[in-house]
Parts: sequence; structure tokens; C-alpha cells
Amino acid sequence: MSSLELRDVTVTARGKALVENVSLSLHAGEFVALLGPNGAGKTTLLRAALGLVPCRGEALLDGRPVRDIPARERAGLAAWLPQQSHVAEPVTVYEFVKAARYRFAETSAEAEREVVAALTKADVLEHLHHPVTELSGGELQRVGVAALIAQDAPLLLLDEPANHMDPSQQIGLYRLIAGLWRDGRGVLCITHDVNMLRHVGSGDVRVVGMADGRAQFETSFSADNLPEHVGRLFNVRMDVVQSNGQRLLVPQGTA
Amino acid sequence: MHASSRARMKNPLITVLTVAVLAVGASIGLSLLWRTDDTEASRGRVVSLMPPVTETLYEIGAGDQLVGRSDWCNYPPEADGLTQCGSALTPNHEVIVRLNPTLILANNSNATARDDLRGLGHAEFLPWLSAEDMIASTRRLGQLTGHVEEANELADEMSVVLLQPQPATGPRVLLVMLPEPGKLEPVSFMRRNSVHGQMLYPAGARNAVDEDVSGVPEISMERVIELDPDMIIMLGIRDDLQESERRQMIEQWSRINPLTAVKEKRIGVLSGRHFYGAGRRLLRAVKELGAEIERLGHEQP
Amino acid sequence: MKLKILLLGAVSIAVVAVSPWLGQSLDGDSGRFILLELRIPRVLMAVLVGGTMSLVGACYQTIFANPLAAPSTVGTTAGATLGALAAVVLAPALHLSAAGGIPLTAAFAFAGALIVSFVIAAIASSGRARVNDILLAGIAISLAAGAVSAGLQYSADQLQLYAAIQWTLGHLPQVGYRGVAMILPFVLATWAILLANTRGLQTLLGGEERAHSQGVNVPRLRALVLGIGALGVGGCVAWCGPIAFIGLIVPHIVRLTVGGSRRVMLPMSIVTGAGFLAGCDTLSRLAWPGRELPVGVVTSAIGAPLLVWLVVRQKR
Repeated sequence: MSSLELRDVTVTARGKALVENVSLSLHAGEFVALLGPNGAGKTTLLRAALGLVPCRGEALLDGRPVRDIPARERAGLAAWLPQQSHVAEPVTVYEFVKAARYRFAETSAEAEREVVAALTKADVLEHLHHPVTELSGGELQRVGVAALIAQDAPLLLLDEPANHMDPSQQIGLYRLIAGLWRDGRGVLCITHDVNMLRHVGSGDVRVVGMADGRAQFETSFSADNLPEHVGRLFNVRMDVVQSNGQRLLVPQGTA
Repeated sequence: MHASSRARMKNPLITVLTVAVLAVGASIGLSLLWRTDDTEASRGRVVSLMPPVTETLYEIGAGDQLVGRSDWCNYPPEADGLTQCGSALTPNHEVIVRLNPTLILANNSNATARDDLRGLGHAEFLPWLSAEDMIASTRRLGQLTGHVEEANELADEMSVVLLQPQPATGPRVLLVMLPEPGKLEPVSFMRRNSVHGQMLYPAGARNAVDEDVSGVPEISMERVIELDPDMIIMLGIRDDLQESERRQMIEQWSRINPLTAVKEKRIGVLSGRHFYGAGRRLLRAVKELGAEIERLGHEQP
Repeated sequence: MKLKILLLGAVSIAVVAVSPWLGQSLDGDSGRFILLELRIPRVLMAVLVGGTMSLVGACYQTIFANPLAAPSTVGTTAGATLGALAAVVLAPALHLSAAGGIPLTAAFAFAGALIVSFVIAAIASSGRARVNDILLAGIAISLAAGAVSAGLQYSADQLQLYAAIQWTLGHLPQVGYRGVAMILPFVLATWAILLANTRGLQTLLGGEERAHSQGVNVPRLRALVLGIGALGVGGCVAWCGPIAFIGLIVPHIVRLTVGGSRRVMLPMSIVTGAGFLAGCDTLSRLAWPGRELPVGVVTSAIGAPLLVWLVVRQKR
């Protein structure tokens, strides 16, 4: 079974530790939400997991150091949705998603079939021939998720996927991700908004808090101590409100 | 197989190096298939890409063999009627081919165009930097065109005048190209081992720049002051230089007052196309230069 | 549609370039010689050089994600220029003449292009330098090469200098097929290897880090494209001298016409570059009867306004 294993990972840049001694694991079939304020080191941690930045400690994919895994093989273990989908040139959605098939040795026709399937699953097939530079933020993120589907890796690393989206787009996106999770993939998702995890649906979502480059807590979404942990993480008081039988955390100013 | 191919894939520089070695090998191999064969020289249809060669050919009576000239060959006036074939630097191959030449004459520079010109017909590359070069090339032109006697006669005449050692005494002359009006620099001087440099010796003068200089023949004004020549003579190419212009050119040097030549007013200007020509025209220029040196040497401020 | 127009245009330019209808007639023995030994090799040369410069430019623009990347801006051409000038200075000192039938200037220019590109490729593959740093280094090398070349003119032997000047003018005209045969291995290897990496280059469009996560070994790809590109450009400029502008302009013209998909853009860059240079060369032959303009003058004179027009039209 595929797994991501981070052990005592430390990332330093210009003498400053961006991530310090963080340990985290993700297995296929698990959903882990990585929560924390801006600048907590969440994105850096993900980049270390992908081998994009060198780190001390161990970053292992399937038990092997990530920097030692050949690129194509690594792409078969974990797929990544970066926070900003900056694309320099107006490539079409088709070309953009097809790039995620890079790791496969296949004909163009086979790739095209997979791209159409992924876009259908993400419900953005109508944009097939549109340039990605002309999509709205929400559409672009769904196309990004379609690329993850096309890459067909058991582990998905998502960096604030619902940023800059309206509420209905956010809910739609989390439902889409939850579907991928339920298919058996492991999901590691960076977010600010713990309440959004309601839309992932039933199942055990682990929540890991990070601040100042260090792991602060690890608990489950349904645990009683979640509001307290989250409040301390963001330095606010969290009130708990029940709505339709679900628990909502409402921030109430500085603690 | 798999392991080795991955090892090669791991280092792209090794891939590039391998491809480079293979391509260089293939390139040299293929190029050997297309070596240009040199054709035999024969008389009749000559293309000259060098102005002094064109002039010399007319002078030794071989002008009727010329069918093409470079864009810069403007002497004698008969040469105007010849087909223009570009320059030695950028010859126009198609025009040359249409002339169906039996002999192509150009400068002996070490450039790729040599092979190209050889591909168009028999080509000869003549040296023309020093007086020795010029005299030897003149004799060679006689052999190539069947005008040996005339060529040797001209070469002998030139030898008598120009093949003289630098005298041990005599005025030290700085011989420069006539600058643009209004500016003195860059000071482009005549090298001692060039045709123009050697034109000083028959007049009993020495070259003020008594050293071998490679590259562009320019010296700084500081160096001119350091050398402090006895005379400065400017050589222009225009036939129609006015007396007022001549005076203005001399006047320009008056700013450089540390120079002995300036203080003693030993600065001269000579101008005319023959100063940059060949053959007997050039010998006339040598005489005029000698007379100017004589005049400047006697004239006292 | 646009693709077909571009394709058709490029091919017809190459055909017209050798045709007997432009310029004087090609009758008789000399006409046959002109067609077979002068015009066809010349157009073949334009096709090979134009195609290579444009393809390499398109690939450089992709790996650097920068529209200013081209053989002339990452230092490849500058290296070749330095090499050609080194030949000028070293040849008399080392008593070298033509090596294996290859003009010394060409051999040294090739070595220069390769050495500079290897240094840049090594910097790129170390993964430490950022993309813009590499480009900046290339431009610095280009400027240094210009300065050194000006300096060398003051120390070189007159005849050697003449050879160097002739090389820097750039020349496609030649007699016979020797030059074509010499650059052919470089050109074919470059086309084959760069086109074989189309998928990786296409994937790189989504951003360097995303491409990394999608399985592209980015430093490796970058070093490979730089090195192989240098090989092709080195082979071309060693023989023909630096031909300005084409590696920069043609990829833009292609992208603005048929779009940025590298699957289409890379092969179309070859076709368009080949047609463009063949056309420019024909103009340089005909523009001034009896004389030949350096082809670089024509590529710049046509290419620069064309590029500006395409960019402005796109913005509207």
C-alpha cells in the first residue's frame, strides 16, 4: 500500500527554519487535513514531501527517500495540486490535463481517452478546448483536480484547493476531492477552513495543526478537543454551533 | 541494458557528449566526400577581386583577359566596363559562374571563401601586403596571363625603387592616413613592413613607428607624442582635395603643440588615388612622397 | 487552417527560392551549374540552419519559460563568436591551418559554442541557479564576447582578421554540398532528440514544479535541451556564422499563429524557420542586383516588424 512518511523533517532557507522536526504520515485511503495560519510552513512541508526542496530528516514515499526515486516513478506515487495554477502560455485545458499523463508510455489516443474521462469526472469537460488562461479561478482548480485524476497516483497532495472560490464552488470541490478519497486514494489537504471538512462526508478525517514551522496537534475531525486545538492554533476563541446535526466552529475574536 | 540506459539517462551531459562525438565524426566523414577538386589554370577569362591586381593586369597588357572585377576595382577607367562580382569578402557566386571564368584572382586571406572560389574555377590567392609581396605577385600575374616579360619589367622597376633597406639616418616620418575633416584620431599609421611603409626608404626617410604592430594599425596621440616624429605626412585618396582643405588638415595638428613636427611646421598632406594604387602609378606616388619629404626637410620656420 | 497556411507558405518559399524564375535565367552549362552547385545547396543550407535555429529557440523559450531565450541570448552564439576569434589569434601562434579539411574558424567556433553551452548546462543541471540567473549569465557572456572580439581586432594578424570578419558577416552562399554535408549530422541529431522530448517540454508549460510532480526530471531535461541545442546551433553557426534574430523571432511567429502546444509548435518551428530563412536569403540575393546583402540584415529587417505586428494584433 502506498504511503507518505515524513520523519523529523526540517527545512531551512537562508539560515531560518521554515519547517522544524515535523513528522506526518499518509497512507492510501486516509484523509489528512493540514491546518494552520499563513506562514506556518504547510506548503514548504508539502514541497519537501515531493522532493522539491531539500530537507533534513526523512521524506519517504513507499519507504524510499523521495529524492532517490526516479521522477516518473515518483509521479506514480503522489500527485500535487499547487496553490497557484500559474500557467505562462494559453495552453488548452486538453493539453494541460494531458501533461499529467507524462509518466505513462502511451499513444496520444489512449492519453486523450484518459483526459476526457478525468475532465468528465471533474465536471469540466465543456472547457476541453478552452485556454486555461481564460478560466475562472474555480474552473481552473477543477481542471487542476482533473489533472490529478489523470495522473492516477494513489496519494494526492492538495495545497489550499478552495482558495478564491465562492461557497458553492468550495463545497463542490470538497465533494469532488472526497469522491477521490472514497475511491481509495490518500488525500493530504492544506486548508485554513476547518468547517469545509464537513463536506468531505462521513469517515475518519485526521486534522494536523501546524504553526511556526512545527506540528502543534494531531486529532480527528470528530474529536471533542478539536475546537480547543484549532482556537489555540489561530489564536482565536472558537464557539461551537450545531447546524443540521453537524458541528460548526465559529471564530470569536482574539482569545 | 536497462540499468545502463538509465545510467546514461541520468547524466544528460554524457548524452550530449556522445551525440557530439558521433556528429563530429559523421560531419568530417561526409565532408571528405565533397572535397573541391582544383582545376587547371588556363588563360582567357579572368575575374579579379582585388583592385591592385586589376590595375596591374592592365599595366602588363593583360587587361583584355579580364571579364569580371570586384566592386572596388575602379582603375584604370577601362575596368568600368567589366562585370562587377561583389567583393573578395562577399563574392557573388552566381555572377562569377555566368562569366565562366578560367582564372579567379583574390587576396590570400585564410577564409572559407577560398574553397568556394576554388569550386567556381581555378583560383589563385595572391599576397599583397609588403613591397616584396607586391613584386612577387606581379611576376606571378605575368606567368598566369602569358605576359611574363611585361610583368617582370614592371616588377624590376618596382624592385629598384621599393626594395631598399631602412636607412640608418634620415628624418623619422610618421606616415598616416588622411583623417576625416574635423578630427585627428584615430591615427592610422602605415606599418614599416607594408607597401606604404616601404615607400619612405627611397626618400632616405625612416618610419617613426619602428616596430612591428599587429592588428588594426592605430596608435594613440600619447604614443605619437612619445615617438615625437620629425615629420608627419598624411596620405589621402581623393584626387580633388582643395588647398583650403589641405591647410585645414595641417592646422588640426597645431593643437598637439609638444610635437617637434608641429613646432617646426613639418606637416604635409598628399592626396590622390595613385597613393593607394599599384604599378607605375604607385611609383609616381613614391616620387611625390620623396619630394614632399625633401620640401619639409628644407623648409625652415 | 492557419497551420496549413504556414506550412504551405514555408514549403513554397523554399521551392520558389531555387526556381529559375527569380533573377536571371538558368540556361546552358552555367545555368545548370548555378542551379545544382550554387542555388540548391544554398537553399538546403538555409533550410537546415533556419529550421535548427528556430527549433532550438522554441525549445529554449520553453525550458527557460522566457520569451527572450534564444541561441543568441543564452550564450551559444557568443561562445561560437569567441571560438572563431580564438582561432584568429591562436592559429598563427600554434602554426595550425585547416584541420581535416574543416576551416579552422569553423572548428573553433563549434568548440566555443559547445564549451559555453556546457558551462551553462552544468549550471542549469546543478539545480541551484534560477532560470533568470542562467539567462542573465548567457547575456553576460554574450556581452563579454562582443568586448573580447573588439579587443582582439587590435592584436590579430591582418589576414586572420579578414577571415574572422568574413565569418561574423554570416554566409549561406557556398559552392557545392560540402557545407551541407558537414552540418547535416548535427542538424538531424538535434531535430531528432529535441522532437523526442516534446512531451517533456509540453509538460513544462504547466510550470516547472508541477512538471516535476508530474514526473519530469526538470534539471535533466533542461541540461539535455541546452546541450543538444548548443550542438545543433554550434554546428550551424560554425559554418555559416551567426545569423541574427531567427531563433528569437520564428518561435513567436509560430506560437502566435498556431498556438503554444509544443506538439504542433516544435515541428512547425522547423518548417517555418526553414522557409523564413530560405525566403530571406532569396531576398538578400535579389534585393540589390549584382550584390548580396548579408542574410542577417534581411532576417532582422523582415522579422522585427513582423513580430511587432503579430504582438500588437494579439493584444487587441
